[in-house]
Amino acid sequence: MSPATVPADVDEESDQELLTGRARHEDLAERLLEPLWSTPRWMKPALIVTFAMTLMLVGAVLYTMVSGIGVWGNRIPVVWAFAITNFVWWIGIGHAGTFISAFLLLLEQKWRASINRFAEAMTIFAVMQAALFPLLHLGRPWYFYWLVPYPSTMSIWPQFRSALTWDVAAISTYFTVSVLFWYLGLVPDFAVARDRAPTKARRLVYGVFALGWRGSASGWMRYRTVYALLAGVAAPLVVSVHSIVSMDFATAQLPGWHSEIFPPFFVAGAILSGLAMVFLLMLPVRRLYRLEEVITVRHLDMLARFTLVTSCIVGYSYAAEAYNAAYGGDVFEMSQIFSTRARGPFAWAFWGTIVCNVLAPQILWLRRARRSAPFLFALSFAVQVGMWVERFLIIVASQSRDFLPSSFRTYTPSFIDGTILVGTLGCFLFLMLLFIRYVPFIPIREVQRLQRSLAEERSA
Amino acid sequence: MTLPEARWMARFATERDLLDAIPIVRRAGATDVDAATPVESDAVLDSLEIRRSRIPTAAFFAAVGLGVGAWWIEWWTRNESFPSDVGARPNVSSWADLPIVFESTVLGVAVSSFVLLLVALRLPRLRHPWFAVAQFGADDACWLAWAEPHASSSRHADLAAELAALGATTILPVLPDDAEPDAVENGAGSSL
Repeated sequence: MSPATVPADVDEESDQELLTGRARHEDLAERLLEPLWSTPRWMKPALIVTFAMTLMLVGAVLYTMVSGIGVWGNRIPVVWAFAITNFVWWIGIGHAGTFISAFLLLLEQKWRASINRFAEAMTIFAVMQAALFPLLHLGRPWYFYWLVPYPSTMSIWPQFRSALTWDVAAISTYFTVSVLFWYLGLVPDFAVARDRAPTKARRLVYGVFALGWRGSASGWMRYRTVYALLAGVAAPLVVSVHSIVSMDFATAQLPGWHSEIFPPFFVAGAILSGLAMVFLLMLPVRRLYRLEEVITVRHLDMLARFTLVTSCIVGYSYAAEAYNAAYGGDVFEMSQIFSTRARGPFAWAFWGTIVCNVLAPQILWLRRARRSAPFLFALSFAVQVGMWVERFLIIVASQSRDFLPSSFRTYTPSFIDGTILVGTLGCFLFLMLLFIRYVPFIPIREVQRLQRSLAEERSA
Repeated sequence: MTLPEARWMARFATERDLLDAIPIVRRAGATDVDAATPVESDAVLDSLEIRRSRIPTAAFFAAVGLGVGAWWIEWWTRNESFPSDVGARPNVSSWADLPIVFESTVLGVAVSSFVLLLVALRLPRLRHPWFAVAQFGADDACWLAWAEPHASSSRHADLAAELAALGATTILPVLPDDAEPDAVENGAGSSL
């Protein structure tokens, strides 16, 4: 074998791994539509359980609205606690979808095709959960429209110099762009479902959502232009949203918050937790729907590599935060990082964060680990816990021990805090289940395009 | 015998057959030539000589408009309508304006390009003459659509024969929106 033939063979082999079996278009479209036409046995109990959890969330939210946020565990000096921890965590989870979908589209990474729809849906549902927390935190959420610059009789406007107002613009833009990007990607697949639906009612419903898409050449040309345009604008949003969220903290003078590294640190952490959530949701669905031919081991490998990279960036950020505290010489900052967090009452969270987010993902250097679905599932669970605890650490530890020792207080969450967190998890899963049941969750046309492209490469 | 303008669709099993048929239909004097393919195809776009979309240009202006509008609101509310001293921060602070201007610009691109796409494709539209053509969309076949303005019946028959030789499995008339769809299903078209 000549040296020149080696990379070509390797490339061909790795590309083939993106799709296995099912060579013809027809088979693939029919295969990917199957989940829409039948309800698996596990779906009903799963929907009932997650719906019950959603009702729990509704109850806890109503109780909070009626009683006020005093029913939470927030007490001076810890005024941002569980709710803002949950908010940052959910927003972070919402990052992987657009990252996978937009960034990888712009970089022409073929392996995004099988998983992007799933990740985009995850983004939208996660941002919906995230938005709940700052709204409730307003105290009087029914006045949320005060955050929008509408012409009021008192001429009172939102404070545009506040990072909290930037949050409103960033999150609402991110949500809108994510929904448009997701829905635009779905239109051709809704048309496939419309054209092949077994009943008239389904043809009608999918027909409405397909908007009349017919796959004309001129339609495809404009569609691709707009899809690329949306990907182009969604990509910087991935960076901007969590950067702006990080400024909620970084612009404050509090020890542990006032740090220049926060924007890139938050973005890397967000993508890490988002990738972990993709694994947590995708692996069971891949198994239950027997989608190993479409979501192949190669996909797991590529996602695991991204997880490893973002974990290393997060690890670097932890080290830089500690280094900056030591090099800056500010006693309060040093006390926060080296005493309160590393050895104080929050040591469990600090070391748990290091183990879950930095040390455990290092196993992904091993190829076998990157290709093992059970291992990736377990690791993703650990990362997800680690990322939540990291946000808890940043938010709660910094407030509980700031400049004045006489005002140091510990924090204990209330039952309602826990109920809302569990409830948002249930609501998120409930929406994901509905999505899996009624929406083509693997992009049919994208995968067919990939299939054709791989076939052309092989024949060339 | 000369016919009034008629619209037709031909079904091809593969994109290769479709590509071969496009110049034939063009040469026969057909107008409004379009194709429907399951996935986008650069070769089909090139063959049909479809012009680049102007949506990005329009979206650019919409984005700039929204960005400038957001910046103006920020400036006006702070400097003209209700100046206030918050933590001794300057009222005129372009750095503090940037995040919302950026987000508004991005929102402008996204919403305008999506709306312009719907306008350009005349969507949403639940009924379309193509949907009434038998077998359209039922599988992953490719379709060629064209109009024959005032073609004679013999010329149409020649073209149909030529397309059949190129692999067209069916050639069917496309009836206007208000026509009875049953006419197609009852064999008004010519199955080849």
